[in-house]
Amino acid sequence: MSSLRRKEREVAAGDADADVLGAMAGALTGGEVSGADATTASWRDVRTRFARDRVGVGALVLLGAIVRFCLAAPLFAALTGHAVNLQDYNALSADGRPLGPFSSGYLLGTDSNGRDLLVRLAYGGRVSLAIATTATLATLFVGVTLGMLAGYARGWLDTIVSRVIEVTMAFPFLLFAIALSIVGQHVFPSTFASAAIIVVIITTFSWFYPARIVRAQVLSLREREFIQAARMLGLPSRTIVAQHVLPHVLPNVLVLGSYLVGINIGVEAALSFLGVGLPTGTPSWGTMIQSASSVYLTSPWLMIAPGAMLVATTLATNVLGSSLNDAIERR
Amino acid sequence: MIAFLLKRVAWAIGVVLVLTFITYLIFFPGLRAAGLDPARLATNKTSTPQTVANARKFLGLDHPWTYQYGTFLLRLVRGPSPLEQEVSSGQADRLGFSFRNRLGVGHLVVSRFAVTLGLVLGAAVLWLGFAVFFGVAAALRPRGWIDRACSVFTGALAGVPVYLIGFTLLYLVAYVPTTGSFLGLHFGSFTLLPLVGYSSLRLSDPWPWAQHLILPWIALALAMVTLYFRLMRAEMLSALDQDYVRTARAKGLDERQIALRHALRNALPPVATLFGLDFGILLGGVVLVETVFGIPGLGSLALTSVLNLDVPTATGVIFFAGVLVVVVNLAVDVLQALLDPRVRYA
Repeated sequence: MSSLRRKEREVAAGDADADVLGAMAGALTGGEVSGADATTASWRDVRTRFARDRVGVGALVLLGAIVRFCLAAPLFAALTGHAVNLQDYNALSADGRPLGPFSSGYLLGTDSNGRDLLVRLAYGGRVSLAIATTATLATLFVGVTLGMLAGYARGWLDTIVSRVIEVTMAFPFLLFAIALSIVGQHVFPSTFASAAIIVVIITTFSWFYPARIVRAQVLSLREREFIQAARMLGLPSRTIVAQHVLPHVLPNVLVLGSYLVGINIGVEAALSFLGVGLPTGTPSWGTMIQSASSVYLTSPWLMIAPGAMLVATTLATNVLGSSLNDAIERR
Repeated sequence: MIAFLLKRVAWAIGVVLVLTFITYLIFFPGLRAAGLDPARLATNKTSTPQTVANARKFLGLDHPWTYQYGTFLLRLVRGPSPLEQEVSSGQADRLGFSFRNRLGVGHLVVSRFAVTLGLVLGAAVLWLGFAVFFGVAAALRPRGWIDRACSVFTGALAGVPVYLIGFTLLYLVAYVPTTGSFLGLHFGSFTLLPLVGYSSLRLSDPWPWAQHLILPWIALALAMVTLYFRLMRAEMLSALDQDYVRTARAKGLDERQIALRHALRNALPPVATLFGLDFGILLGGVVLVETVFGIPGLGSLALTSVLNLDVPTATGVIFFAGVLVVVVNLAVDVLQALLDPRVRYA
């Protein structure tokens, strides 16, 4: 989460710098120069700039490969003939220990219950990615909506949103997440509910990141000429916000979204690792690390495999986020 | 300054009130919705019906949950009531009474916090030391080899969760030496560091304590260092770019003095702010590290009490953690206001 705070500062600072630069350039040339906004017209430029960034493209390719690997989970199950929850006690060594990697029929070996690690890794990735993506979309939706409202309407609405943000930021996040998750699971005892609770928890404790960034940007945007012109034309606020403000906010939201996916995968994994996330039978990278933690000294691959997927995904989304940021800010 | 201080303190108290209110909202109506009995959960399975009845009385379960929140606040201000004293055989304190541990919650929390403090302080020395030393070194020679090496090192750590760092350290440093072989290489097996556990600090012989904490210190420090290194480097770079540094150079001061006296002094406050802002995140890291290494600190107390739905302990720990976060933030704010008058009037 903490890398996000930095990111937030960067985005805010970068935006302010660009605005200042834009205004200065405008004053010098006497013409209208836009700031750092990648509006719909310049998305093509962003794409060209991004395509030149080898590291960024590499991260995107890696992320694509991970997603394809997870989507192909049923294919792995069909090819190996091992269903995701198939517990085959013949797939253990003679003394009842999990099989190591490159065993016959089990490319990555088996876990303590004789389940195929490769198949579970792919299915687990689906769960982890689904939760992280849903949580990210929910976070961005809530954050962008409230941020735009607060920044555009100002007044009491802004005061309320800002105060709520300040209080939420003062919460010891993980402690509350643990409490909410465990009590929630007792109220709604099902695997799907556990996943939904994780999404709600993540959204509750991260909506303020996009909200703060968007609010700050909208506060400066609403003073710009084209917004004032739109208001002068008598367009309703709803239209101005949706059609004129939103497109300018989206690039930063996209960058933030990329970071958030990686962070949220980590949050799900952390909660599952502590035993308060998904139930242990449900495969996710977090629950796999959790169940590996009791046997990792003798069977380290059980932790290395999901751990490596987790780290690779986080790293890819981080790099992708910073490359997108560079492409958008024309550095 | 006094007005600023009063405003910040009032705000801090407000935040703590909201925080505990929500904690109570989660635990009392939440557990009722799940059809669970907090009194039974707060006691051990082997407890007598008398103890359960005492717990019910202590928690005020015959009343609505707002009453329970009210008694919590009242107890905080006035200390435990005679009834609470009687039910807990005089053990209850301002934070309540943990029936499972047969200790006052305040007492329990403070003793566990001492353990956590040792963990956090040791780790903080490591990561702040690294960040300041190498942050300055990297900023003095941008794109030099120190800068590149540190950027690669911290960048690689950025995406790795603290518990994976912990397990890796345990495996490589504590476990591998005892096996006598690694990657086909054989050597005489020996014990370098203990695998899990904790030994409390004795000033006459701190080694057993330190021995158990070396790996947790490193793990927590590695998890925190990236952000601090990057911030330190960036702040130092921008400080070195300021006019007063140019003036100092023009005066003929040597680079060493400029870097340490002029630039570093201005680069440090943002690092302190980050420490305040990230304190809540640090507590989260503490929960994970204590779980991996089996350290009986505040984090593991929080985790076990919440997992067991031990309401009196859990609410006490969360209250304490909330106060800790707010107080650290307040301290950083006040410190900054003292150092920088602009903050006071912002």
